[in-house]
Amino acid sequence: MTCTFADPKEWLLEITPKIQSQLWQQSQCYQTPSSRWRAYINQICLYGFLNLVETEYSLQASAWYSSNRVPAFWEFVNGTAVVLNHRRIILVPTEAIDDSELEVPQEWVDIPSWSGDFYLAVQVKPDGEWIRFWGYATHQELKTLAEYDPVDRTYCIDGSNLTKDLNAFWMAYQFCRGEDIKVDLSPLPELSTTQAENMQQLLGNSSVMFPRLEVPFTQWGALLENEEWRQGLYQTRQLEREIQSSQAVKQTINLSAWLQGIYEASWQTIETFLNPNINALAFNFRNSTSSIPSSIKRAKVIDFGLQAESGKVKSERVILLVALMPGANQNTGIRVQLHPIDDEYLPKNIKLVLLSDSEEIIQEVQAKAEDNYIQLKLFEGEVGEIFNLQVTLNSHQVTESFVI
Amino acid sequence: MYNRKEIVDMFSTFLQLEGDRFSKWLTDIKLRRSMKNCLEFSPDISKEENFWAIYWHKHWQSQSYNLAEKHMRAYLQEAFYWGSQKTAAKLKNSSYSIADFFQMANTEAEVILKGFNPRKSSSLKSYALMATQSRLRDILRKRKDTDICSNWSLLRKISKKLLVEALGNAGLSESTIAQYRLAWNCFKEIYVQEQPGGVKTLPQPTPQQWDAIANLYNNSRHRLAQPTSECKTQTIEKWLNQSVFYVRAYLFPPLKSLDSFQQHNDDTNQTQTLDIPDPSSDSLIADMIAQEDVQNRQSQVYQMFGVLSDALQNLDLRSQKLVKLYYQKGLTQQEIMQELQISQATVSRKLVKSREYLLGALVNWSQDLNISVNPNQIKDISTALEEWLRNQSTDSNINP
Repeated sequence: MTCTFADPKEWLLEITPKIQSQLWQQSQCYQTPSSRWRAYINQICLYGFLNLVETEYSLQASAWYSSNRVPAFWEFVNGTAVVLNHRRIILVPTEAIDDSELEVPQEWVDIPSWSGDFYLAVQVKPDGEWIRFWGYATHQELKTLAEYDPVDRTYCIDGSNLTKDLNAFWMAYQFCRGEDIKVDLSPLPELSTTQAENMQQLLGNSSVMFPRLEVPFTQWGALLENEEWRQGLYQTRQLEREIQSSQAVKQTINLSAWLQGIYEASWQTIETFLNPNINALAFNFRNSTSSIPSSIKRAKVIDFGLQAESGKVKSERVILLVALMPGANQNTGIRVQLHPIDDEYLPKNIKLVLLSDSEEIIQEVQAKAEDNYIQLKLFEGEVGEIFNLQVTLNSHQVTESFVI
Repeated sequence: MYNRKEIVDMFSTFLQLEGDRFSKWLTDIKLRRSMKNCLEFSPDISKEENFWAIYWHKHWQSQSYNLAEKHMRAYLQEAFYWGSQKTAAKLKNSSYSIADFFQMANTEAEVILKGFNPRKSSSLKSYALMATQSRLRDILRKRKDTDICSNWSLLRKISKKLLVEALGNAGLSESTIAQYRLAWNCFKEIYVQEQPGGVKTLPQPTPQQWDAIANLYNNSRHRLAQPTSECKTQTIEKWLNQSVFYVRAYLFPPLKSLDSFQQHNDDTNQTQTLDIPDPSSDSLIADMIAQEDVQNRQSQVYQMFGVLSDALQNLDLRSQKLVKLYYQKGLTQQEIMQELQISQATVSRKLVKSREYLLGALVNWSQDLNISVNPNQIKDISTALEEWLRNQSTDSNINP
């Protein structure tokens, strides 16, 4: 750790690589690279804050999601709300190194049920290794001192108007319980169901990159404030993107490049997935993968999005693992496995299929109840040969193409 | 380096360095005349430097007298020098000299003056000494973070405000800045890491990414206040490349010579008559009344310092030692970590908690005196605490 400029007025927290990778995995269900990144840095801040108040102050804070579902708001907007006893605290992550200002999305200020008492500026240092809580403002200060930027719909409060002192924040939290630090907000006008459905349709189009800026704020805010509509919009966009990506030309993974140490970004090392908190899972994963006599092992998350299972909606993700064993006679041996990621067992009936270049089924394997993992029989191929791996769950399938 | 003793000198001379060494105090004739005039007109008025510091600060705030800023700058010279010296001592490996820091401090005068509240500090001098160190740390941290960023990660790691300021500094018009800003927003939306790690060496965006950025820009440009035409990918690429250049230029301004800096306002001054304020006017009398008020507050500040000395004794010995090493001896957290053989995370945590304890003691004391504690009061109390902590060391005690 080398933070030369660490100042006791700030909270500087270290995030271990294990936690980073775990939170990164949890952020993969979002739809665009930028929403995944947004979810990631927000999760890091949330983890850091909850951990801090628990270890330092023995207080239980909780993240404000209105349900156990994937927090849909990170798909659209930066920021996280935390409930700490009588106060709502909005964490606003930023990657900016300059502390010049804090930009708070209007949603967290003007939607009555979203707004908070305190707003904390949190810098996420490169890679999420460190987070630095460096300043705070009250709702009142945001409404009076910040400049509203109509283009980005953010409240921008100048660094000199922020209190750059987290000791002062904590004292204000403790000693100013009765203090009114929030401006009264008028409720947003209610939307009719038809209005909401029309907006869902308009904004559900995943080519709309900034949905929060496309319709007037009062309407957008009202849509977002309603949990069903918010979640509905999230799912519409997700569904549409899946259809798009299934139509898109698949990138063929070049395995000869792997032999030279060149990998696609989405294919990661096994260690990335060794989730420290779910020991049984990590143990199984390590055991079943370490038995493969190969140094070239890469894995990728296959995301089926939200799936309905016995009446409950949950996100289903698995890990597809490909290991290469270069042989003496130009042939390369290939081992393919499928592992669970969020649970101990694979989803029942999930199927892993090997297809030829012309999409003929060569072999397949299906998971039974409580399978830790499944694998294809070891197969071989020559340089230049093309094959496909298909993972099927219920009516959804994901195909990856490879050339040796 | 010796501190100035005469009131007239304090508000009319500037520190001259030769290399890193003190050379002499240079007199600004106009300031000297102005200051002498004030003293002659008001022989009965207090000869305390604090009185004149607050007097000029009030004029500076209300912009009622245009020499006030230069008087203030002159007055802050010692604070700038000692703040620079302390910073240099703390950051032994930095490539900056005391003279560099001193120059940076001079350019921060306005920010420091703006942050000063006569009711909350023991004196402008001691506030400025604390604030100088804090500003210098901020500047250095920013520069260090900038240094290790590649162009593309730098663009992802600046605030909107910094970008807009840098573009404005480069002389771009408001409507052009709005276009650059939108392009930058689109860039940040498209150019995202696909996995954590390695941010410092983010590669050049791919041609596909540039196209996507341009596409997004063209689809979003209706949000701009002024209608603009479609942009080609090359144009967007050029804008963002220029932005990187402007941002770096803005964060690392060439060091001006101090002389040119001090003569900055002379041209404008010559065209104006030397409007020396009339010390017999009502405003000054009002100021004198305020001065009594200020003295009351200041005695409160000194009481707070007493509370702090007691509270410090109540900390456990290890924490006391940490506070002493960090604030009084001016060690960095790394140095403390090495000296005490504990992790920096522990050093950092313990310092935060110790400072919090001291602040808590002050807040409790205020409550006992029935002084209300709203978040703003707490902020002021914390500033007083910072002043006390930062100015503990003996070698640069500039309090009279």
